[in-house]
Amino acid sequence: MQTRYVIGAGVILGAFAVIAIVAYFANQQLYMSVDELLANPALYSQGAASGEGVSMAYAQADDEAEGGGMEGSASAGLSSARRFAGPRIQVRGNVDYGTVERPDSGLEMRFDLVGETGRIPVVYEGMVPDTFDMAEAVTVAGHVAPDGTFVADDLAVQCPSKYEAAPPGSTQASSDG
Amino acid sequence: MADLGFVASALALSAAVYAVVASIVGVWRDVGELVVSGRRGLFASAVLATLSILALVYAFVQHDFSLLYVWRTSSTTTPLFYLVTGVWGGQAGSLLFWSWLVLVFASVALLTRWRADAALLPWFTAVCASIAAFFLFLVVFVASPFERLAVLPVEGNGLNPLLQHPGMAFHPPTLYLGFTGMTIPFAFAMAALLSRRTDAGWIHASRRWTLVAWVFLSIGLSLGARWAYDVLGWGGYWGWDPVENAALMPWIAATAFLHSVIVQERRGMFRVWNMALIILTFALVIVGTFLTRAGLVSSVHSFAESDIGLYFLLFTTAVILGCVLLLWSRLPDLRSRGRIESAFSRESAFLANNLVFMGALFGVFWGTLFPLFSEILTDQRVTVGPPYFNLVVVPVFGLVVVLMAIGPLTTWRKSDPRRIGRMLLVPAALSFATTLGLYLAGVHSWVALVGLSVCVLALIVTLQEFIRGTRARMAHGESPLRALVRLVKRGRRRYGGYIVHIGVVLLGIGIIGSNVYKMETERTLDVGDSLRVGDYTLTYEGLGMAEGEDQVTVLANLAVSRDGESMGTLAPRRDFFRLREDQPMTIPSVMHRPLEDLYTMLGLYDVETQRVTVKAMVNPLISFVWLGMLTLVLGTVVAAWPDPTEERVLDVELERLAGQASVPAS
Repeated sequence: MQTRYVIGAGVILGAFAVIAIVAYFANQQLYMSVDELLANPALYSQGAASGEGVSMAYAQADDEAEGGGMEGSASAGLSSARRFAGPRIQVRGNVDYGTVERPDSGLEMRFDLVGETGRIPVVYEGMVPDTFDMAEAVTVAGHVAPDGTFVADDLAVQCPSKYEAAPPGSTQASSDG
Repeated sequence: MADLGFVASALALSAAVYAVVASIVGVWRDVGELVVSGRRGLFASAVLATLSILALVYAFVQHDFSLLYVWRTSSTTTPLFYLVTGVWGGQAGSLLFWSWLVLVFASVALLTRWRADAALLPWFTAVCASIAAFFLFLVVFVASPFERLAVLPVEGNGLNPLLQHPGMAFHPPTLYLGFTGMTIPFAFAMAALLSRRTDAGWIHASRRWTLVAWVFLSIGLSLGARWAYDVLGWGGYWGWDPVENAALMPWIAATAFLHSVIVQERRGMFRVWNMALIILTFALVIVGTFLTRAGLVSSVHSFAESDIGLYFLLFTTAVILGCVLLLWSRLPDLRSRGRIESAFSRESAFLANNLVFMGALFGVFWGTLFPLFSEILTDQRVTVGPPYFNLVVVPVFGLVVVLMAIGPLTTWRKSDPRRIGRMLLVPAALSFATTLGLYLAGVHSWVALVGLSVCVLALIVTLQEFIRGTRARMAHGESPLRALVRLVKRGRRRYGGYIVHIGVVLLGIGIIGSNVYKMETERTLDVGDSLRVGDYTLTYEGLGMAEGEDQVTVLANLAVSRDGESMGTLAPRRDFFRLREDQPMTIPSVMHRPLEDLYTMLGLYDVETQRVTVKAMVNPLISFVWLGMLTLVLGTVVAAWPDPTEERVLDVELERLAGQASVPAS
């Protein structure tokens, strides 16, 4: 084939690649364990370290969501993204089932996500996956509020044995094994 | 029986290895008997793999829970249908299934094409047998479905209820049919390079196989989308999950190949490029299998972590390196026989098509696999979600539709831009009028307006092709229907391809509608409360319970009305399976209407207070998604349907190409 078509094709492909790579870095989300997040002061600090204004804004939003009832809470999870200073991140950890609270509205859920070095309180609003109660680990996506609460708008369950159960007699023996 | 199955799989491996060695030595030393024997080795391997599969089916039907694999995915109450599908329901069985399909496809290809180009076939046998041998090696030495348990359980673990859905029973095997089917054109391409017979012979021999593999990939992707919509309960059909992407990538590469191959057939150009594309397609098939079966990426589909990852990595590397080196060494054979004579030509339209598909492929590839590389390099895990893919890949597919509106109007060698402009005049006017109408009707999202206007343009251009062809035949006195049927029959590939284009346009309309105009509400309701979504009002009338043989169901009764008019009830529910009480299943309840779906899901509920959380959404135009997928499959069937006249022409062509074959036909 002629050189100019080859060069043209290369330029077009290069442009596609540049767009993809730029979009990738603009949209990437950090994915970390509870321990990694706790050990990262830039992303996680207990208390109002990142400024009074943001803290106030969060407190107000939280009030609205709880006090305003059902109408307000329906979309609070998704629109919360705009209210936080930090990036959207995904955190993986184990649920402390003793701390799971479902306040009256039914849509909101609070629980602690635990790692080896500590725990992070999580507030989540939305549908809970079927496998939440037996999850070995869950991943929440959202933002760290200035008071150290993780405000999640997405919750996914990770379960290595989801499609294939552990064999009877193995260390991970399942209930009916 | 189980031991027989294991022995059969081990013998199948030996036969496949023998087929590789015999074919290579036979063609190298020019020993005809060895070549024939190698071919028989492949047949033997296929028969033995079939035995092995049958033994596994038998173990499932007999509830032989001494086998780990059978115990895992079935129980005595599993229906017979799902016992059989259990064969490919897990990692070990699916690897056996994979090798079996490759061997069966290769055997069929050898039986139907042995006389065609005899010089290609020994190499074809060797390539297919080595691919099958790799998978059989995994089956025999790494992940055997015939592995026994130390203790003998009385009852099996049961099949995950999420997977007990007809869509899920057919989704994996159709994808495998697509994946393994792609090994046939790949093997023909490698045979062409190895035997230095790089004419269009390998393309003629494998053309229909490519279409068949492609249609199975398409069906597999469609079934997966439908299953997600019906069962997973998030109201969508595509989530850019790594494993979905794993199946989409070979589909994109194969689509590009199906287009650019036409240029080689007609003009003898793009010869290196077509080789590169088929290698890329096959490499992506292996990567796709690797992603889904080796648990590399954790996602909805990933299977238990296992040590076959390393073997896959080695195999993938070997395939890619080997193919690239082979292609490099054969570059002089593949010199182009034509030139692009004008930027306005069908050649350049196909080139643009390929560039756009490569752009889409790169976007999907980068978003799916770069997180893995970056984790290895920086030890920091990063993910990108649907926003990335929607930003990068969706506009590129928009360009594909634009090309669909222009490509069919171009002519080979040199087109007249003014003529193309004239032919676009009516479709463009109609498209503009439709868009204006939509705007006046309240569609104000520019994404939807641009997208829909492009879709309408491509649709009208394609329909115009059918109308023009039919008119030309009618001029010879044929009735309109007869003329249309004859038109399609005489040009199956061309008009089948146009039907596929119509399917893609319909799919595009459905995707735009269901994404841009989706409405969603989530609320907690007491009995008597109601919820509004779009124009619909859902009134909660209380919980219901139902007990079945295997399950207990809790459902919320919702009365649906619109503008004060009752439209019936919906009952989103949760199923609890007796054997899997730890895993309830949320089943959405959907009201399908021609132009939109009302989709409801049951969240938390309290039996005593009867308070429930319900999520409701309106998915506009989603029926176009399913209709588009069906049309696409139909079009491919039309294009791939055997055509005796075309076959005769090809046979003559092949005989000419295979002029001095050195290997005796058996």
